[in-house]
Amino acid sequence: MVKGEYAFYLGCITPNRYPGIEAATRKVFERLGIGLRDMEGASCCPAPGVVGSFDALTWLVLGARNLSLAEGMGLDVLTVCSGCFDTLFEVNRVLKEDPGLRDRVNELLSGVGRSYRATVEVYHFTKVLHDYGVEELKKHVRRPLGLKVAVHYGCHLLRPSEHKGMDNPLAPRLVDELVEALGCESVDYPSRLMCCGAGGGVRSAFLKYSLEFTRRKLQELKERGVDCLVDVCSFCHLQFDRGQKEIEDLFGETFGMPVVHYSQLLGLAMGMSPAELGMDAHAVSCEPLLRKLGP
Amino acid sequence: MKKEGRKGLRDLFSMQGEDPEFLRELRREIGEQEPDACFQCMRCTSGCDAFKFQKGYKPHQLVGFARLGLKERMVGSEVIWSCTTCSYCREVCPQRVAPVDVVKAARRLAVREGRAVEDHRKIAGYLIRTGHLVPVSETVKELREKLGLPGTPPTTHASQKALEEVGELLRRTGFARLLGEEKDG
Ligand code: SF4
Ligand code: SF4
Repeated sequence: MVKGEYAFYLGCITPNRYPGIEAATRKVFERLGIGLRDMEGASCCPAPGVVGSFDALTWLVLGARNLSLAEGMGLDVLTVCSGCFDTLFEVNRVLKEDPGLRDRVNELLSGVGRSYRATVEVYHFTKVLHDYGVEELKKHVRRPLGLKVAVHYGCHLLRPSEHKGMDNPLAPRLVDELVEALGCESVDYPSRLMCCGAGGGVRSAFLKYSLEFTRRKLQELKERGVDCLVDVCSFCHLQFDRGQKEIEDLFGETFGMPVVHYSQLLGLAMGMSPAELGMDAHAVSCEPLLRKLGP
Repeated sequence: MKKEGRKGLRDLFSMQGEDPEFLRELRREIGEQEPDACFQCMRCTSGCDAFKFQKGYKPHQLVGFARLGLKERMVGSEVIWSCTTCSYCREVCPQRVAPVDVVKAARRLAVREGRAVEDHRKIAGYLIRTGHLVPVSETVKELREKLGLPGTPPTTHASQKALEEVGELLRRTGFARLLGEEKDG
């Protein structure tokens, strides 16, 4: 596979709800000299906790179809959503390990003129950035941010760790190092590893219950006076950003906590404007954060 | 159940299922993971956030039900849909059981029996019609253009052929029949 260039897997939430994350990712990777190419005709990953809870074969086959697009491009896959990462990583792993299952999936794919030989690798963008090098990344920082941030790891970036093996799943440092590289302080808090509440189809089935998770985390962040929450997954991003409006409606509690995807935070540190990173289109205003950064 | 053995101690590793057919099906569905090694230590439940926020949700109990083949306590209970699939339980289980996989397996059997949650049917319909669980909207198209991106993302949204491929695969796996809305069928 060609290094220095990736097949950019968009998924659903990124292009269809938070295109600012898509724009930010394209811009920061261009700045780093890492190419991102579109996977034309890609579908939903499909979501691990939702479609994976409906039908295992469908989850495998649609995942394999997406992977086959990257294979056709001769490129490894890059994702900016941990749900997409989990599905594509796991589908890929299972198909690499189990030739029998691969045959079964290929039989189905052949019905639409496709096949997947399981030759690509799947990466989360934080891993690609970390491998690029924290010191190297620092060289691109034009504006050290000096913010006090809370990292939300989310679930599917690191867990299950048995095969992903990217970092200690119970005491991770990967994303902390990435935010520190931009001149931010990463604040510890008790529910650091807690789920955002959205996963597993819970958000669509039981909204209020799913927001209990979100609310608990936001309460802790507010007590600690952080400037923003930094996420690395578009679905977590949606749950924290849009979720704050829903929490206002359902619980009558207001946090006003800016929610920033790491691609956007990196863009800010590289000197890009909040508008070109889509930060003026969030449900919760990023103004308090931007005021602190100054012009 | 009759107590067996000395001083009423039951061998936790040889408990027999009450519904062998269900047990076989569940085991097939669970795939790589083995629920049998569970010794009910409750470590999974103690760290499970769904347990903290949803009354009656206990992953160790669901693993126990799975081992006993108590079908209705699993597929017949809406509580299985409380799991966020965060996989924390899988990370901390000393016996390398993955309660999350047991729960997901039970969900798939429930769906197969037509017991999917109504809101899930709705989003499954989006997948069938658009290739996305979360399709684009007119407002987002405008925002995309403002950001210098093509209004329609380069996904199934921009390719009829790709959308047809996805639709055909969803028919071939039986997903469309399982979760599609009747009127579309
Ligand atoms: S942590 Fe593992 S062994 Fe302990 S109760 Fe849960 S599944 Fe069973
Ligand atoms: S995956 Fe489900 S059962 Fe396991 S800890 Fe998370 S919410 Fe609880």
